[in-house]
Amino acid sequence: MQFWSLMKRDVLVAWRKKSNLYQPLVFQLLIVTMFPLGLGAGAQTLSKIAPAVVWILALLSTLITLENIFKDDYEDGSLDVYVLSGMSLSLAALSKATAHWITTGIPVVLFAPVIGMLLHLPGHAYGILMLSLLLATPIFSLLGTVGSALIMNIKNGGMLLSVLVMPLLAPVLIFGAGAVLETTLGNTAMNHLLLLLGCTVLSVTLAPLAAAAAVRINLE
Amino acid sequence: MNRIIKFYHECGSPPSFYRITGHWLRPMFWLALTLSIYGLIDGLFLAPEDYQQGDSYRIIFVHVPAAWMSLFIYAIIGIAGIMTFVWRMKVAEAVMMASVPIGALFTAVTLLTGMLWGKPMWGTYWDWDARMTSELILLFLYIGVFGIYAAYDEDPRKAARLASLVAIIGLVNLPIIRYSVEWWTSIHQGSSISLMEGSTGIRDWDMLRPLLVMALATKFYFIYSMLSRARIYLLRTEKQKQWVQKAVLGAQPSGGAS
Amino acid sequence: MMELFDMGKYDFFVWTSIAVFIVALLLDALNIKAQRTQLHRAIRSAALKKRARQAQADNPPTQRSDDS
Repeated sequence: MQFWSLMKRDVLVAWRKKSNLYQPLVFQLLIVTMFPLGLGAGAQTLSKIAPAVVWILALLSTLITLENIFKDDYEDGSLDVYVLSGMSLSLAALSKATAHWITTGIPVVLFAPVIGMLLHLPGHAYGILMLSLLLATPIFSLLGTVGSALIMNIKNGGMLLSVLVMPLLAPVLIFGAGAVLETTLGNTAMNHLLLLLGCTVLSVTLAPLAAAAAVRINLE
Repeated sequence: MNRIIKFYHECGSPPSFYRITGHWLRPMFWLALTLSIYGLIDGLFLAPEDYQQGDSYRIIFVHVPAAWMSLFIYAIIGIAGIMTFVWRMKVAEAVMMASVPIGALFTAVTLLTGMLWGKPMWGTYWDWDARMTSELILLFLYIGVFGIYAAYDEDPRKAARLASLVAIIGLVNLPIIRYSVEWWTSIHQGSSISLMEGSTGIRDWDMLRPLLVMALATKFYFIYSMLSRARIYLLRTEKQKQWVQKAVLGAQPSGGAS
Repeated sequence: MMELFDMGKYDFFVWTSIAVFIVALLLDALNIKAQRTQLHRAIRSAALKKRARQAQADNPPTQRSDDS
């Protein structure tokens, strides 16, 4: 029960502070505008790099939202309350990751076709694009929870967070962007998607444990 | 057997660790120095030329030992990290943090020498080949462990425990990275030639010998560097303790290459 | 003598690699040495200060009571 109430609270907090919801999407729009301007090239080049760009934008726009997953709760003392109330910290981490996914991951997945369209992503790749992001955004949120738990005591930890999380996300990017790329080339994306699913399962099981361990060390 | 267990327990206490390893530093340093001088001379001047790669393959004698060390040291960091995390062993903490700089250094040397070999062989300093890419990501892992420790400078014990957690996460992640990167390159570009594969690989004993000597030399150097840093780490974090005063003031600093 | 150092057309690459290796390890060793000297000096001066303070506490200087 605590899981749901904590998650509901986090989602509500994010909902009230609307900037959390649209910040990643505005970021994506801003950057995607830069691409055609910088490339100065026609539709062909754009659609060739579209799978990678859509994916990297989804990743980066999530990355900028991660820092505060735990920070606010740590600073106002709510984290201590969770510990005192006897709540399992892994469960708390999982619930925080879920809330983050609902408020950031889902909008990113729903917004991806727009970005794809702006980059002339071939028509038959949209399904796989959304499916791959649907599998990957939970990983972003879960690993982000770990990173955020590690740096919650550090001022300006954003850069460090990126360094910590980037190596973890490299395989996800390989499988996810690879799936979309293979689809645009007319190949099957099944292998990529299965491996991506494996990453999702692995991070659902391991990331909350790691995040809980980091929280525990920070609260000691 | 009993002596081994006693030795293990002694190593767990900072003063005994400091005292015991003090005797090792000098031999390790000189072994490393002698072996690398011999290995480099042997590799650069005596070993025969590779019939396909010519003299450029001689980079192997620094590149491959450094590459082996970069992975080996990360494994050490992971193991010491587990010991730090589970048992909160002070000495494991010191070993872990002391291995990070030398590990990162070997990773950087691997990347640089790999680039210098890539230019004549691939025609470009940097290629997104599987090994180069995962070596670069390995460097990020090292930077991550170091970064989190450096960011918590006011509480070194907490910093070390967080760093150990980062190291363990990296250890779990490392096989996934290597596998995925290898898979990624195999799809898009086919495997490129690499130093170790070469034409026939290194089969000739005259080529293998300097390589093994250099591998040993880097191992010894790692032990020297890691132990020295671990000892400094222990002195620094236990500054107030009696044994530190005795170790530093009692006699001139023991050990170390002069 | 010169032909001993000749690496065909690969001179630059081979010798730069060796130099990178040697310089890296040299810097590491020097860094260790600098850190050790600095730390030993810090510990020693802290101990000296402490000893001086203790000596002062054991037999306080007489002028001080005169001043106040």
